[in-house]
Amino acid sequence: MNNMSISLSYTYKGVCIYAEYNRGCISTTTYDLIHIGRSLATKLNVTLSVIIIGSNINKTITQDYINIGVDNLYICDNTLLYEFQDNIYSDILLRMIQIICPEILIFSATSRSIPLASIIAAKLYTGMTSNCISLDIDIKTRNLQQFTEDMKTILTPYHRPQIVTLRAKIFNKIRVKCKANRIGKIVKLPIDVNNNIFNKIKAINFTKYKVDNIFKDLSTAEVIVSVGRGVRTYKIFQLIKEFVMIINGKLGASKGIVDLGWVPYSCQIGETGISVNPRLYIACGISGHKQHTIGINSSSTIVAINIDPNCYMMQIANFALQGDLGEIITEFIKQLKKHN
Amino acid sequence: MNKIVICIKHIHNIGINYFDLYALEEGVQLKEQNQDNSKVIVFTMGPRGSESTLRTAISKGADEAYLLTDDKFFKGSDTIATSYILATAIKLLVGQYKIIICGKKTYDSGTEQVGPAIATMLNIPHVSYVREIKSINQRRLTVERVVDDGYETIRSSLPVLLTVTNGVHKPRIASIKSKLLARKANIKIFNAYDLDINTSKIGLYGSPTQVVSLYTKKKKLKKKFSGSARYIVSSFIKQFNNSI
Ligand SMILES: Cc1cc2nc3c(=O)[nH]c(=O)nc-3n(C[C@H](O)[C@H](O)[C@H](O)COP(=O)(O)OP(=O)(O)OC[C@H]3O[C@@H](n4cnc5c(N)ncnc54)[C@H](O)[C@@H]3O)c2cc1C
Repeated sequence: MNNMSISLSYTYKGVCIYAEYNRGCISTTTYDLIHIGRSLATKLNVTLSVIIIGSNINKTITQDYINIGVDNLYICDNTLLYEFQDNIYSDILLRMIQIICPEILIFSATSRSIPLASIIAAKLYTGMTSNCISLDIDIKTRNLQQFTEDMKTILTPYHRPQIVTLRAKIFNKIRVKCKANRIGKIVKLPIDVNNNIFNKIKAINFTKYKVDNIFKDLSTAEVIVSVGRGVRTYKIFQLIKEFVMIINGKLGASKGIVDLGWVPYSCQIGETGISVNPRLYIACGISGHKQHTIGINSSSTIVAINIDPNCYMMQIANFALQGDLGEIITEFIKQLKKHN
Repeated sequence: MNKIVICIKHIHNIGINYFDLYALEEGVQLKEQNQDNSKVIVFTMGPRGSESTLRTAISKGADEAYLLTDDKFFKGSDTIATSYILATAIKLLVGQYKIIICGKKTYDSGTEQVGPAIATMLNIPHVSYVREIKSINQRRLTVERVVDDGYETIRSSLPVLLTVTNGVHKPRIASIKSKLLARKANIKIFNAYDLDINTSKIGLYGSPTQVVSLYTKKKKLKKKFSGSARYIVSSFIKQFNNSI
């Protein structure tokens, strides 16, 4: 094992990020990943590379990335790669990784990137940890400490690269230090158009979620915003829906709002509705009667927004935001939009 | 004959993993639609006790069941090692197949990697998070999958591996009669030696990832915010982002 780890540290160096690019758009999580990757690379005293695969890759983002701390950009740009397709992208990505030989490879924990990362881990037979919530480095061993939601610390001691998928921040507001006209290297790679994977699999249609999707699949949702009678007006209710869309959540409600007909019964949370177990539950103007809270007991983190600091929901919340719901939601939308 | 392979996981004290019920149902429905003597073959890798989960699968329509178990060599395998064991067994014991179906993730560890990793090791394409098989013939299929921002329709050649989410077909409830029959069904058991597997790549020591510690959750946070809306929101976001 010792020989193995010594040779590993010679061959594999640097931190590498896969930036998800689909249908002409870069994933909004990329800044987050670069920010984290930069700090790991600085601690290890190595370079930070970013890989982008797609079609018509925007020139301004590449210089942007260099300005915020990326040293090398590896790009594969071809019209055949317009739709993200993990089975197709994986061959290109693997070639790039063989050139870069990074010790750490970070993906964002999204429904597109997780399967792609899994293919790479399987091809290289190396360790991969999904859905990490944070990362740190042990400088001496150069091992990446991978912290998961279920409270584990995972290492990949003898295999490289160490692959992780990292969960996006729910309230994404990171500002990265920026240096104009920083120098970086851009490497462009061609694709192999004769690869027969192009005949095997193809994305033929895509339908983006509509607003009413926020009412679906609450029982498996990770982030739920729930409305109660404290919403008072339909206008504020509409603002809450906008907020839900921004943070990629689902909408739940107390009985009072379901009775008004603003939200379907399938979204009623509590004794006579459904039970939910999200990572984050945001109760907007809900007082916290037992018939409601019985449905949210297994939420990991509860945020309450309420004008009354003494109501039960504010007592049980991990974060209690005291104030007028309409004002606070308006402010959330303003601050989160500023970044995206 | 068309072989439909389903990979399922047994979860201690619970039984069959939630999403694997949907994988099984999708496979059994394919068999029933086709009427061309298709066969549903289930695999699980895990401790001896996983046998009960295979019996559950048989009671819900599976035809054959394989238990891959080995206290010495399989125990402690991480997801990549587990995928390697399953892929090796499928290659050896099934040979030709039309489709492989897995649940999108497990409830206990939830890594979401096993499906795509098995497909990669078997050198076939895969589609993750499928909610519906729209059409299928001898050469290819069309499926709809769920992604973070919408639904995507994918066409793939066969054989293919799918990972499924809780989609359009609700898992069936087994009848008393089929439960009784499943109790007597033959479960085929294989260990590392039977599969001729490279044991340096699996188990507690061969697995690439190692769990080094469980950290305890910081004492449940209790933070209060008041003042102007602008102050409340910006200080909340800062503290929330730092809390995990
Ligand atoms: C048999 C039975 C079954 C039930 N089942 C369910 C169930 O499944 N689910 C369920 O939810 N309920 C259920 N209920 C109803 C339950 O008892 C409560 O009546 C209900 O949950 C209260 O809803 P609420 O919190 O939205 O409204 P309220 O209790 O009226 O609370 C409104 C809250 O909004 C706050 N507020 C007011 N104005 C503002 C403002 N400007 N800004 C911020 N906050 C403000 C108030 O301080 C208050 O805390 C059931 C009741 C019975 C009898």
